[in-house]
Amino acid sequence: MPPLDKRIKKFLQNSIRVAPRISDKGELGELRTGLVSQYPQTRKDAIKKTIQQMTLGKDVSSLFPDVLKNIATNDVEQKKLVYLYVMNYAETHPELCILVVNTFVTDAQDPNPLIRCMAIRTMSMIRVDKILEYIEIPLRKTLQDDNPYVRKTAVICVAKLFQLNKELCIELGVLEDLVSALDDSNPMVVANATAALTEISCMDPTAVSLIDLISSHFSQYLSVLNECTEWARITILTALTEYDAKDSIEAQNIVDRVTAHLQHVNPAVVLATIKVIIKNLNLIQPQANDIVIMKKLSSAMVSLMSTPPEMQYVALKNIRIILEKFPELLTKELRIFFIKFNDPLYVKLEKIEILVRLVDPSNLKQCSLLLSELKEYTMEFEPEFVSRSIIALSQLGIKYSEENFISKVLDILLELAENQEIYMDDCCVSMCNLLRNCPDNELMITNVCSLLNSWSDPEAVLQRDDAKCNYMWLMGQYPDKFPSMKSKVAAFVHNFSEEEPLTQMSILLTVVRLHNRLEGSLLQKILELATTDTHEIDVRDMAMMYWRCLSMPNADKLIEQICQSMPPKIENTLDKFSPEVLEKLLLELSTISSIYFKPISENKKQYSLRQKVVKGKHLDELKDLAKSEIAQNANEDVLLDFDNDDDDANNLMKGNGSSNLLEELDDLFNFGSGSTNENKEEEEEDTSLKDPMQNLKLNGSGSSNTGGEPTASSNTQDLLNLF
Amino acid sequence: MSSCLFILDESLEPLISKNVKSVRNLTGILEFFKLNYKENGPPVFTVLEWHYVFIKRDSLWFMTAIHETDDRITNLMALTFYLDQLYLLLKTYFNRSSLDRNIVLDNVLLIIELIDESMDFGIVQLTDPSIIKDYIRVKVNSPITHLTSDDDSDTEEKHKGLSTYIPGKTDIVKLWKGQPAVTANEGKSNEQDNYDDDDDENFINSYIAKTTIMPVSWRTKGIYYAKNEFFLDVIEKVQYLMDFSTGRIRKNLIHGEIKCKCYLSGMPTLKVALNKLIKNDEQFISNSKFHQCVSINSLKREINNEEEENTYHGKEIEFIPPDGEFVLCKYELKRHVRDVPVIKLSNIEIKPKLKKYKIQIHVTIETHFKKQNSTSVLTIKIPLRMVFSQYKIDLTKQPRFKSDFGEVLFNISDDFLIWEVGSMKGGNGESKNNMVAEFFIFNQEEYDRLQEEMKTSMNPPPLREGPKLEEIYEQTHDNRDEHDKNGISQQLLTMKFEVPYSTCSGLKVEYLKIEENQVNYQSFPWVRYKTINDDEYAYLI
Repeated sequence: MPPLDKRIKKFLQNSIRVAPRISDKGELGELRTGLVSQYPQTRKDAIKKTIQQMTLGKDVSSLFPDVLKNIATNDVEQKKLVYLYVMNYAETHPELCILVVNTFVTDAQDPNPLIRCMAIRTMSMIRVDKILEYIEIPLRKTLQDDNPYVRKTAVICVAKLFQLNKELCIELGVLEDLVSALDDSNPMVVANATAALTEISCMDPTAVSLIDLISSHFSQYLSVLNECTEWARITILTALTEYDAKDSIEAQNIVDRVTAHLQHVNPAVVLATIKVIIKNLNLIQPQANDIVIMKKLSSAMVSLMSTPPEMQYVALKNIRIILEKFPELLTKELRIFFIKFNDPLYVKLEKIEILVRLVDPSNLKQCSLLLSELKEYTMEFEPEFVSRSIIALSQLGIKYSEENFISKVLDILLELAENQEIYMDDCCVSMCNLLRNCPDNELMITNVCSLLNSWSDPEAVLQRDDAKCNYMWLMGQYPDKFPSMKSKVAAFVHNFSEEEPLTQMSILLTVVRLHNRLEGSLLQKILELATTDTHEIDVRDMAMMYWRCLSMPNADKLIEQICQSMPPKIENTLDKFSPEVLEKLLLELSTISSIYFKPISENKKQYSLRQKVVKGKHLDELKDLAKSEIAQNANEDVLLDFDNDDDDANNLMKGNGSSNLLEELDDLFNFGSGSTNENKEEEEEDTSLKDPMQNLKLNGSGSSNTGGEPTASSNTQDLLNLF
Repeated sequence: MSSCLFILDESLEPLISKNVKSVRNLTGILEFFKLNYKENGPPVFTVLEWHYVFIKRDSLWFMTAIHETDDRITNLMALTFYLDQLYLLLKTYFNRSSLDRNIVLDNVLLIIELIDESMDFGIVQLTDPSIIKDYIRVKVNSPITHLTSDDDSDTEEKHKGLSTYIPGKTDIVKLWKGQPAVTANEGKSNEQDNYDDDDDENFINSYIAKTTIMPVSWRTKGIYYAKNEFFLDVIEKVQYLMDFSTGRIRKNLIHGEIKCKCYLSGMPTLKVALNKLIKNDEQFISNSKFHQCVSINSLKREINNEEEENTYHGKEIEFIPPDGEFVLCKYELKRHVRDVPVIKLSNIEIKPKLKKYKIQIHVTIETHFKKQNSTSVLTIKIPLRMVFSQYKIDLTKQPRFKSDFGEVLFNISDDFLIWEVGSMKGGNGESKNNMVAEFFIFNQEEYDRLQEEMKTSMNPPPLREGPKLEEIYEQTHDNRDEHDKNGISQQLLTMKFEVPYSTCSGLKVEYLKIEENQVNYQSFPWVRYKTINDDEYAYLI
């Protein structure tokens, strides 16, 4: 305790406050008088008010010189506030910043480590050339500081400096200091240095070679892992995923070291650990303890499900990727993924995705359990959720692939389609899929067809393109089961030009298949419509081809062949990633790409330095301002940009999803392509033209949701949702 | 990782915007978020080159934006968890059960400092409230009225949990601050004043600088309490869902948590032995998660145990606890579907007696836990919408309720009954409780007859006593949307209960040792158990 008189003096000094005088200069004037007041407490109050205004988005930059006067103080709280202010407004008064530099430099040598931290932290955030010129000495000093807390702050400042001024950062050579910080004795410093290096290598991969650094410090990482905070653990675990183990012994060692972290409370630590283990599991020879690890992985994933919904969402997305690699992993945990009635919609949808995937198709008991669970879900009230459940039902049926089971599924769907009007689209698609899995079951076919036949005008009942397409296909496949087939087809043909491409294609095919049963005029009409009245190039080509076929001498026989071809049995309606994509995604668990199932592309545009150091009022700055204005006022800009992005998405899909899509191709227009194959000899030029066409078509139709016949590839769907 | 951070209010207006990586044009980034935000949408979406990650807590949104160039190094799980932790951090700071717009606006500076300290350049540093609290001691600016009311409810809630053995929990906190016990409010301001006096030169004490870099990063040195106590609560939430009509049990799980409150001086080492660990309960070992303070080595031994069953060491959890409240362990246990639930609905019947124009709802429950225990809270919610939509209920006649124990409340606006049983003895199904609710069905004949009589008679209509339920019913159901009628939650009979002194899974703390080598003080460990319901403890009827 200091002596009494000193305390009294201090008390008086601190407690004198002058009420802000109301002046005609307005609020700013008031603040200004406060800032230059002779009483410290009044000044402090004024600074607080200024900052409050600042955070509310008001422009208080004109007070800059007055606030600056308060920077030289012993009061840490006040210092913090002034620093905060300086950080925000330095760019508006670059020429005045020179006044602060001195304070920064002295503060960076303050005996109090926290002040040293604050000084360097603030200094490295200021986008003004003049300040950065002086950063070298304080930064170097703090990097070598005795106190690890200061060091751990300073290493991050290197990354900040790099972002602001790459050239300067390289010139100063602080990157080397940063690298040597990886050998620091303190785990926090190591972790932060790693994080900073990761940031830097992300900004410019040529600046540091991260992978080499990680491999050379690999043993350090393993040893500090248990000694640092949860957040540092995440950084280190992430770094470990970058490391390629040399052999199985080393991989085993890594797995052993990190396994305990699967039981951490922090879900991010758990997920990062899972990532490390999965990466190294490939290298380890399958052994007996494989089962132990798998068990631990599965309970770790289960534990991720007891987090708040947002984290569950991320976890579910990642689990889906992992399940693709290890389908058996969570088979026993089915119940954990059952939907809770208070889950938010996005979690519910993801859970359904998982449920169908993790069920063991050889286990009847489990499948029936899931079946009754899904049936309950169809009684829910959120439309999106119900339609997803309906699709899941059909996916489950096809996964189990046994006639009795499928007929149970079908009964549920039939009942739904009868009672719930809004879900007819999904029911129709699902039923057609099921029928394609067991095409020989008379009873099921009759049931479905009689229900569908009872709809008086299907083209109005069904809303979605893929549902209509399926409906038409079914009619073409089993025309005998549709007593009122003729009128229905006629109605569809009547609406031909309003339909979307998949339906148009399907109408065309069905009419051609059934042309013997229909009036001749209808065939003529559809061919004319399809060649003249549509913008879809594929529909037009298809129509052209059929027209030619029909006008050939042995047309009847040809068409006969077309009619007889059956689409192949659907084995699986769950979309899968291609192996390459899967491997990439497994390495990118927990990143953005794990949400969109879109691996980070290799030829990504280089990091363009977003930051420019300000010398005066910069042209860029003005541009940005203008941009934000535009963004606020109208979103025409957005629309334009969206278009660009859409293109990107399409290109991407061609790259990534093509393997997936190509499989669908055969399914999708199987009868069509079947016919082309048979006709190959006679129609050579035609087919050679047609095949690439179809390829093209698929990529196109991929974007309009391939739901058509079989797989609504949610891979692409997710991509689409993205944009 | 993240480039900027926002806290938004209900209308997505920014309350706090923090530019983490000094990016340009924060307002533009936010505009795009507003344009593209969808209700019920997933918590991650992308617009142009910005990824948005957000969580919604109370009425606030915590949102962060990431530039696409950072794709490669973004750890989404860490980000969402950080946002969640930030929310918890603010809550502990403000000592409130929920946050709102006003408290955020009143404490802008404090929040900005907290964000600054917990995250540097997008790299999360620490989020442990007990550590940060030592460093950032800006006074919480909260309206007194709010604070008192909030404090009351808060302490009350805590008292419910702790009152049995701590006379006043606040006392302990005060002792720690070296202050005589006063009311919560005064204590707080005193603490602040006291603080100012103490610190002559520097406002901040620099514990944080020492602590965060130590191997034991969660506990500061030099903590002192006059009375050394440690509270350990085992709380098990039972999640149970049964389809009553088919008798199929859809879920039967236990979510357990071991919560601790630590008021111990110095650097104590604690050893907790759980019966599950001693018995090598595999399910427990593999489905439990521990706080970062639990030394990985002691866990490892446990795990080894599982593999080499002959070695008998490491049956205990060893740790140096952080100061204050923390969750030591979380575990998930599956129960066999046939394991009886804690509170079992043994019967629910809807008996229409059409001849008498009555409908009766019989509900019987029974308990399945140790005889010597009893529930401290037991409330059953019985949905009625099904009954109301099936039968035409005549509310002009008062419904009647009868129960063996407790009272029955009728919520007319949302159509359900609440049966507050309160305390109920344990047992193995022999302790039963019944409830009967009787509603009248609309009787057309009688109604017609009465109308006829009214027309002919000169007497005024008979006086009616009590509230006119049918009118209230009309009012509350007038503008109800049709769509929520089908919701499954309308068919769920939910229960809320609390059974102190017992754990559903049988988990028990065999012993709890507190060792502190330097000070050697007497310490008081307290252990308690409680079984409560999960959000989802329901019967589908």
